[in-house]
Amino acid sequence: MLSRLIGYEMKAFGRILLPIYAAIVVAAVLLGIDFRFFPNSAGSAGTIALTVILGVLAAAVSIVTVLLLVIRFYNNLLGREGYLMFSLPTGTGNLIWAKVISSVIWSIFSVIISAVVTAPFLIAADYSGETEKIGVGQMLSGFFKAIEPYKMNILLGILLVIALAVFAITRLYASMAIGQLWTEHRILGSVLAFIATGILETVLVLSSGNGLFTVVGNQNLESALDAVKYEGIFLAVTAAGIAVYGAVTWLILDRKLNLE
Amino acid sequence: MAEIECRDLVKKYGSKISLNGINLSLEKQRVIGLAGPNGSGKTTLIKLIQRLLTPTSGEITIHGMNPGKETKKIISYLPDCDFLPDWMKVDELIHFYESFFDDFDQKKAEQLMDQLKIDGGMNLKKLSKGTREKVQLVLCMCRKAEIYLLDEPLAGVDPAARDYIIHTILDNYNEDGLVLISTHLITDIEAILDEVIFLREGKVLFHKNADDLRAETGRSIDEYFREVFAC
Repeated sequence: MLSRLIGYEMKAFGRILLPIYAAIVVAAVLLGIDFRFFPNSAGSAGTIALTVILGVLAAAVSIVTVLLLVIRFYNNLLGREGYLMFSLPTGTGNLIWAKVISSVIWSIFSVIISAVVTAPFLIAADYSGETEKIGVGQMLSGFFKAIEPYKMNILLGILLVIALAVFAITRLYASMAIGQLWTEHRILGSVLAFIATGILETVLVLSSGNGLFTVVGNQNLESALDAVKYEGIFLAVTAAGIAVYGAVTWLILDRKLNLE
Repeated sequence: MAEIECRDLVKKYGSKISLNGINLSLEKQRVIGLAGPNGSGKTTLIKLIQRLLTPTSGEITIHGMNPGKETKKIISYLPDCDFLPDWMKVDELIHFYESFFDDFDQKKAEQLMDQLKIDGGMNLKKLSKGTREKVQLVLCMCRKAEIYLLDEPLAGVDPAARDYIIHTILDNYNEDGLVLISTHLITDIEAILDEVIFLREGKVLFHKNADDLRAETGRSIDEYFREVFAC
């Protein structure tokens, strides 16, 4: 059931995001061709226009991804579509998980596609002739060699970034779930809940005194091993935050559902 | 064992009491009308049975189970509002139902859509309000469910559409099942009712066999409804 729910959620996101991704790839390819075959066209109107379009699309993909994950949750679960979704023979947990998982997957896709934006500039560097000519492949191979000793840090760092994304998503979901408890002005309620959770997080961090952040701040993080240790601690704290926001969302949607 | 059983069911929204001590026992192979004026608690009762709401106190059992994942497998629910996802096409929505409800008859749904001259490739967003209501009803009635919960299926539609709705319900429901229809438009459905429940201010005024009620009062259910709920 969860996989089917994720499938439909992926489709709902895809019909908006895929065309933007395609536009980014097309703009990046055109700019790459421009840099590759016309290296001296840097100041031309066409190059400037393509660069601006690519920049706008890169910004749009981030904004649209965030907006979509909010709108999909709100409309699909808390709006009228909720009558259909909460009538499916599945648990509330599955409905929430499907939203979280698909949002994370699309967020990762959006980050990856945003990286495509840099490709034409790598080509430009490669063919500019102003610096010592090295291939892109050689550049990447050098990069991977340089990061070899920090494999564990990077792996944990990636996990931490994904966990932070899930944390942000679950906080948004919990805020919307709290907002739907209001009979009217639910969006205002959700915004206020989002602000309140932010204040609560800050208060918790500040009141922790000798807590996590102070401890980490006082440590010598020069050694990779220390960094791994503290990345692990941050990961655990983030996971706890996800659990809290997830539980709040589940409890409200399962016990206090208040569809429009 | 009753198909739906409510025991001392209470639902409060803050200090407002929407349902106040409901006791009901509904058997299968019945078409039951749930009647009452606006605000009498009809929609709240149906939402509690479908577990879109949880009771403040009291208990509901459906086929011996508390409302939840398992009961949703056997209940086909038509809410009183437009719930269609605008981004889907008609075919995609039919496929959605087919993949989530084991008792959904895809062929029947496609046939009924054809009869309504609705193209499967059509975007739901482009359908008129009336057509969207018919699509919702078709999807609900194409399940071979044990219980059909139809919340105000006749509200806000023209007389021709009402006929279509009533015929679609009668032609497609599972006769071994239970149909609970909430409405305040009794005339249109009176002929198909086996039983009727009158709700007033969150309480069951009575729950009777439709023929018995007509015999006792010497009036049609609609006439009696108008008398009981006269302003």
